[in-house]
Amino acid sequence: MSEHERDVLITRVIDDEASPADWEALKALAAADPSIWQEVAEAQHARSLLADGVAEAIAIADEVVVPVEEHARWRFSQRLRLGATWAGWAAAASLGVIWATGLVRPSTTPMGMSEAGLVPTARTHSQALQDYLSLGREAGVVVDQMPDLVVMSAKQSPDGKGYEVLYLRQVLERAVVDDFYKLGKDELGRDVPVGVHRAPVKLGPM
Amino acid sequence: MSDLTANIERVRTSAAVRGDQEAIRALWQSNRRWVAAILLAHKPREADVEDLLQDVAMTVVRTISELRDETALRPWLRTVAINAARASGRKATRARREPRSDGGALPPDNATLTPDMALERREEARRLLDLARQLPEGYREPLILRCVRGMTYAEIARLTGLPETTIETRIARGRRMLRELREKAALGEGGPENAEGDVGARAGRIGQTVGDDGPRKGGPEHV
Repeated sequence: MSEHERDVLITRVIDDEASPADWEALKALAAADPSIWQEVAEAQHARSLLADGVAEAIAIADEVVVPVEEHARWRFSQRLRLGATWAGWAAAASLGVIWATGLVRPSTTPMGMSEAGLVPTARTHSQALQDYLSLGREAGVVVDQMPDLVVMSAKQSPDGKGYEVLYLRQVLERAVVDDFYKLGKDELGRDVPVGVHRAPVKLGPM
Repeated sequence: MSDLTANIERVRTSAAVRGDQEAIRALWQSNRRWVAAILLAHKPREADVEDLLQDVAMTVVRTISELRDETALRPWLRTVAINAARASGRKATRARREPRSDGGALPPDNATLTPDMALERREEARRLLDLARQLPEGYREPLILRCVRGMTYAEIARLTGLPETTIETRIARGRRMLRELREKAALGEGGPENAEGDVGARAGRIGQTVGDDGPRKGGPEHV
């Protein structure tokens, strides 16, 4: 038996991976050379020592948890967070372009009054927006349009003249609901709405 | 891992991929020890296992939904751990922290040791682990993994994608290399023995070399 085969045999024995044939081979070796038991004992001792060292080094693993809740909150905040981080000049430039072109104008119409008149008829998308705001206020659904625009992205326009800006417009609306629900699980693990019979105490998604 | 355990893990993995938080927690709890062993085998000396484990935990939470094969959870975890260990090597070194102390309590398997003996054993175990971490990567990983409860040759083979015979061969050779490193370290500590004398003494203990009976059926693979 080569030295390597001897090593493999001892390794199987001390790792409790030896087959009956391996044990027979070991006994046969020991019959010819009893010192192999000393090798086995030394190998077992080294294995035990190393196992202790590894166990101590990895014991900290029992205290490390997966941050599932933190991640869920982070993902949620990512959906709600509608801003982007910009250098000050880029944000200022994009807002300047918007104001200069008159593309966006926060509503200055007092609540309850229609800017477009008795029968609002949209001729452009801006007019349609104003009609929506007006009618919504009358219906008690729209509270107001938020004055701040949220810039999502800004880049130089393809023709090199100015900047292409994507921005978010926010409208505050009001609704009356019969109950609040949260997502729960049925017996099959499927998502189902579960009524929560209490008033919300903080802002969050509906 | 038994078939039942494997099936449970597969079901949990499927649920975890769909975002089930409890399933993610359960999978982490049942696998974090051997993941820590992977980190131990691959991390730079200065890196901290706890820090790396937290990095891995975060990566698991963020990316487990991308796992396509439910049976490949463990190899995937291993890859995440190795990547985390290697990435830490590219970061600035940090102060090496002392190993976690258990307050001096005796390990259960050595309850008969006196406190001094237990301390000496602990120090010896740490030195041996330090030496093991100097082995080539292909040898130290299976050797360290073998020290984790439940990591059989078959399980390590599944994890690494290597044949079982290769794993046992690498563990056997790794132990021989570790023994030689340990002997060199003992000589380097100013022991009176010279290298030849020590090897001679070892040969004497082993005794006559047994004749080679030729290759064994299903014998170890030479790697």
